[in-house]
Amino acid sequence: MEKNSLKPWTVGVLFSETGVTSIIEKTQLKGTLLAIDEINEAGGVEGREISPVIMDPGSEVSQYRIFAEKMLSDPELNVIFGCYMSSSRKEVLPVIERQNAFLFYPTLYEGFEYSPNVIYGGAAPNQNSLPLAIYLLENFGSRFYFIGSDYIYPRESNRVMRNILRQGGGEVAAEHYLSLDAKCGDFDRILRDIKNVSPDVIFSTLVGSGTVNFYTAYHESGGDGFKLPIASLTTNEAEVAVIGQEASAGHITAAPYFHNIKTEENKRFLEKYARKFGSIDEVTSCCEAAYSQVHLFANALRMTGSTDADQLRKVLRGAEFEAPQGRIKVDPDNNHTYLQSRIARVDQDGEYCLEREAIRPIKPDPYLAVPALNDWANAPIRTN
Amino acid sequence: MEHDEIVGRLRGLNVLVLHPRDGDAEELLQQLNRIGCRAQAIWPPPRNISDKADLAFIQVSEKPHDGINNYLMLTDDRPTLIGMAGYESPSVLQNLIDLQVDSVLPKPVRPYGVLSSIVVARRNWQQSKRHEKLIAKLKNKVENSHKMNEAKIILMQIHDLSEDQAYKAIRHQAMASRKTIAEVVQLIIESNALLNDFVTKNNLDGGGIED
Repeated sequence: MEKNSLKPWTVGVLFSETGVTSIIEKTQLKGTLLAIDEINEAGGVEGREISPVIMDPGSEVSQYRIFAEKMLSDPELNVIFGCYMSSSRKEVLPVIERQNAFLFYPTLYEGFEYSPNVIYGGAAPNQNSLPLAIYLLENFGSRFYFIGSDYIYPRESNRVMRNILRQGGGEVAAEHYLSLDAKCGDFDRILRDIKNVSPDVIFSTLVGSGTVNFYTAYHESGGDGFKLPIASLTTNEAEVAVIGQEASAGHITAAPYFHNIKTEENKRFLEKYARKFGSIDEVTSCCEAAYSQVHLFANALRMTGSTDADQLRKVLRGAEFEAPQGRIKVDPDNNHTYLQSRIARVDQDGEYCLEREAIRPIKPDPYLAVPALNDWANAPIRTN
Repeated sequence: MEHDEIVGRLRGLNVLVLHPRDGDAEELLQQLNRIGCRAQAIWPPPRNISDKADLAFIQVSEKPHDGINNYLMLTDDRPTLIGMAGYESPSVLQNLIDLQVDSVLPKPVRPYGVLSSIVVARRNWQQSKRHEKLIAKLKNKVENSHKMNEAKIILMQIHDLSEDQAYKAIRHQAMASRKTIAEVVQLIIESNALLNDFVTKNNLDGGGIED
């Protein structure tokens, strides 16, 4: 009996440590592990530690499904933290639903999904695209150049952006999609085109190593973030650390969290992160979301005493957590998360500086097909 | 473009759910709520129509439901229909056909698929509405052109006119009397029928039909 009661809670952790999206997924993995450490150091849940089963799908979409199946074949394991790209989530989803398991998905995505077995911890387009579009229209002009990786998120993201732009009287000067592993040389044609078209802003939805290569190539071709910035929802601290301060200066990102925001929770979070992993350079909004989701889970587990999905769902809906970004809350209507909305620009030293933020968390609206310009205008903002 | 409008206007739709209040209806209402439609569930189906629905989810089972049939008879402008069926047995399938649903939402209802079934149904519904309109218009056109020919032939026979002259005469008459061409054509045909009637009757009164 005694031995049995100390058996750990086994959870799956499914992030790529290798392959094209590993830069960002490794930060999600670390955020997850940090939270698990914290919980275990504080005595676990009901005296039982949380024990992660970690697998690396290597950025291969089909591998996510195979590993999820493998994890869930353990009858003790019913909860998985993982997935970055939508395509990987779509692979895992049927496996999760079939077994009535639970997935914590700590990544921004395009919306238009609801599964009772998923808690969505990243921003929906109404929480990041819309505010970013308005900020850009107000500050830089109305001719946008779209460049993205060729999969669903960039295309949907651009659809949202295009809609908002039209309403604001702007135009899409060009739209290009590249493969996920695009190399520096692949951007030559695009960089020449950008010079010709001379847009007011570049909106990038590149993800993975393509991001780093694009910013680098842009800088090498004479591009200057302070003159013609690249705005993005997916570029963040981890990429900037790789791109380097010179090539990333002046560029803009919208996210719920940046690692230099000043909250007590963030200070503690970063201190612990630094102690465990050394540097905080790569702490990103996706990492923070992963971290917060583990805590949301552990708090729920304290109430249910079981990883049964039906019980977890009941207590997670409406659950709140004092996250490093500020207070967050799982929306009981749609399992997405009320998040902060912030826009920041990289300064000369390679640090994100806050440009503006919403004064309170924004309700997720994952089924917003045609965002209206005034949706964001209703949410009070603070400008730095 | 057309597709853009269907997706863009989802949130303005007035949706009615005619299905007993059970887990399926509840799941559907929650998803409609997430999507952002104005949705209302009424069971049994209303006996009179207060609010016009753009789209109705209706229960489809192995036997026709009087309440639903009655409701559908009340609506002269048929809303988009989505059948909610739990079985795929031939009698259920036949009811899906008879009710002329625009798409199907299988039961048990899952959030995933509701949006697709709405979009496909709206597309089918719009297309069939457009086709109905087009067919009515073409029918009308064909009928008018028949009548025009008839009227022209009458004038050509009686007044010994060419086809072109007959047409000009009709148009002139329409303008002079501030009527549409269709109205004048109708008058010519009717008058001619009346005159023929007279002649035939006189002949009969005269005591015989010539062979």
